[in-house]
Amino acid sequence: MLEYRLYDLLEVNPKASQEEIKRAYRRLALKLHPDRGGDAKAFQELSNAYEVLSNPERRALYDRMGDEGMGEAVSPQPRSPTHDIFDILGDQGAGPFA
Amino acid sequence: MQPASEEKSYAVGIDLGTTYSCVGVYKDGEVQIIANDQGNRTTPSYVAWTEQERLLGDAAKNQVASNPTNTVFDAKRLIGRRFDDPIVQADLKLWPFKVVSDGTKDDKPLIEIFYQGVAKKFHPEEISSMILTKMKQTAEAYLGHRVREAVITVPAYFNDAQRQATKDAGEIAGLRVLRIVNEPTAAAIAYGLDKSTSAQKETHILVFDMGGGTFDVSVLAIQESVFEVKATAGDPHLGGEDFDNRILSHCIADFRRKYQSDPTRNQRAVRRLRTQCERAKRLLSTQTSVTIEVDSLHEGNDFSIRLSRAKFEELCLDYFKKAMEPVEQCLKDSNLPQKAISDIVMVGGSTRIPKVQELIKAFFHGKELCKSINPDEAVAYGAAVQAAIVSGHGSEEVQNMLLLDVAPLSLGIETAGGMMQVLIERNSTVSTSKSQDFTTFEDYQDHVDISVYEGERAMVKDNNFLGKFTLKDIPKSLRGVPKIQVTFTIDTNGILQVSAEDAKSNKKSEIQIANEKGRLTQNDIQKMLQEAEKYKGEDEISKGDMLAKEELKVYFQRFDKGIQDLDASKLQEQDRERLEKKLADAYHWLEHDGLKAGKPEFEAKQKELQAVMNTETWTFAGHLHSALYRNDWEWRAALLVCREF
Repeated sequence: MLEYRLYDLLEVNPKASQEEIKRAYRRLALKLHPDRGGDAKAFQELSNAYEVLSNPERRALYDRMGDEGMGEAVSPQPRSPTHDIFDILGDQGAGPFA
Repeated sequence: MQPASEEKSYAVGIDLGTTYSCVGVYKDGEVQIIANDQGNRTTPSYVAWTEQERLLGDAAKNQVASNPTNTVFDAKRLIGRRFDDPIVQADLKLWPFKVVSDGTKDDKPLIEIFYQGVAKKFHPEEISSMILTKMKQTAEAYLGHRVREAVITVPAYFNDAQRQATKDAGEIAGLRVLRIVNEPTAAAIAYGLDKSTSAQKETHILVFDMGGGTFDVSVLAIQESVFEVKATAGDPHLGGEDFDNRILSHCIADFRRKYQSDPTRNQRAVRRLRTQCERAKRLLSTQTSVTIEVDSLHEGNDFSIRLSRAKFEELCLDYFKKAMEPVEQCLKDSNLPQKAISDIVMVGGSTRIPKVQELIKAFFHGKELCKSINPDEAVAYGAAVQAAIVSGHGSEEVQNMLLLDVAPLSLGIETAGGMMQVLIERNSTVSTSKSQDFTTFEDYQDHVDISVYEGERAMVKDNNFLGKFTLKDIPKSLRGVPKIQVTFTIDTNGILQVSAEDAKSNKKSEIQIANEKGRLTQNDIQKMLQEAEKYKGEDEISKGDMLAKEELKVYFQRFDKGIQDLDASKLQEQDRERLEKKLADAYHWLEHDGLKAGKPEFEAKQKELQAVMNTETWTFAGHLHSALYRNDWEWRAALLVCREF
């Protein structure tokens, strides 16, 4: 499954070179950055897209798996050991969701 | 962009430095760096309390040796830190003023001074606000307009709490802080405008910013009008003062050896010696050796030592070498080889040190360093440009610029096992927002605590705790079922906001991080703002006193001249003697009682003299009057000079 969402955000072709992606980002940043009267959310989305596509590894992953492939973004559960450990450690050793 | 308000107002750029501050404004298409009332383009970041009044800037620094315990500096080394911070504890030993804990769980540091017989305590934010007030007044005096908005710079490597606290300091000074900008980024703007790179081609520069107390390195990509920070690294506690301290220790050791006596407890001696050490360090940037001399330093013993540049370098070499680490880190983080850097921009007073230049030059295989911009003013220059951009008052060239800055530290939350789960990685372009889903790990768990940290280590205990908040009333279900989305947002000031939302209940919880990390509450800020206003009142009172005193002095001179100008035909000898006696008495009063007097007394004295004059015959009075007020413009000019105070 090939997704184009990030490419669309940057207004580039999925075959775009790194140089083209960079130029597109800067051109759009001039338009969307809050300092230039743009909307913070729109700029953040643009930056997130650029962050993925400007990194060859993350871009390859995105090309293969789409949004699902955006790495760390999905981590449904804290890396938690069993309850017992927390019982032993008491509150001090507990994670955020104790 | 905001439309210009009814009243003309300017937004200024302020470089709030550890040792010196600098203010600039973008006006008529260019940046003006503004000189203070002493004619200096940088102002010492010093505040002092004498028996009569509060002193700011040069006036405060100039009297430091005679009033060491009530002269405060280095507030930037305290701001946003806890009292028990090891860095604060180490600095404490070197400061002549007293720092105490506020005694709360936040353990905020407070600076204690004596003013008019009473101990007063100030937060570092308040001290910084006083310096900002001085910079604001400097700009107002130059512009002839109120200044209400400012861009303030901070070291790129400042953490969240330090940024928040700096912003608070601005508010206490009565300034709307348009933006907190990173110092090396501001310097890069100054460099970029200087080069006026409208070139299509992308260039990379490295900014090496070493000032009095902090050190930053940033790598930027500049293309057309976009300045993109690729990476930043640094040490928020390394700078010229550390070098001064090394020289100081060297001198103290030498004094001990020579006289078998220890001057370290003698604050006045240490302060006098430190001033000479700083001077020696500066001189060693242009000469190869220098003599440090202080007469009657301690217990009547004179001190003198010859210091060579080589010895100075030896004393500080570990610091200089340490400064190369962030350079390496920054290149690595920006994925660039050394040869990709087309210019190395040197900013901050400490970059004048030949050894520092030599080491960085060697690191870049002999590449020439860019020294075309003023290392003391570049940061304020860039801040002024950014102020113009953000407030919409810049020229077209400036208005087209865009600055993309980064967050210096990774931000994340604690997950089970004390692990750090990073949401925003360091060097992410701001503003940025990242979300991640988390779940419960106990059945029927109805709330979660979320602890927020910043730093690069895997375990949260090695990172810096920012704050904690609780998401309550999660619908009860088996562990792993609830979906809680945690969102981190960093604004363009580099300040973090965290929220958590339970997907099912849409229950949302938000915190402005650092609330629990010793940040001042809005209430505190309001209180301090009022306090500052009161000070302003006091300042104005003493300004009023000084003005009245100066008016009186001018009146004396005119009175005196008036008598001298009248020849014997117009003024009888006995009258002349009587008037001269009156005047001499008045002078005596000014030199004695006048020291403690205020505006009412000065004015009364002036009236008294006027009355003497008025009792004389009209002829005489007329002559004297015309002599006194002959050059009206001269009189006014004299008064204007007084008002400059």
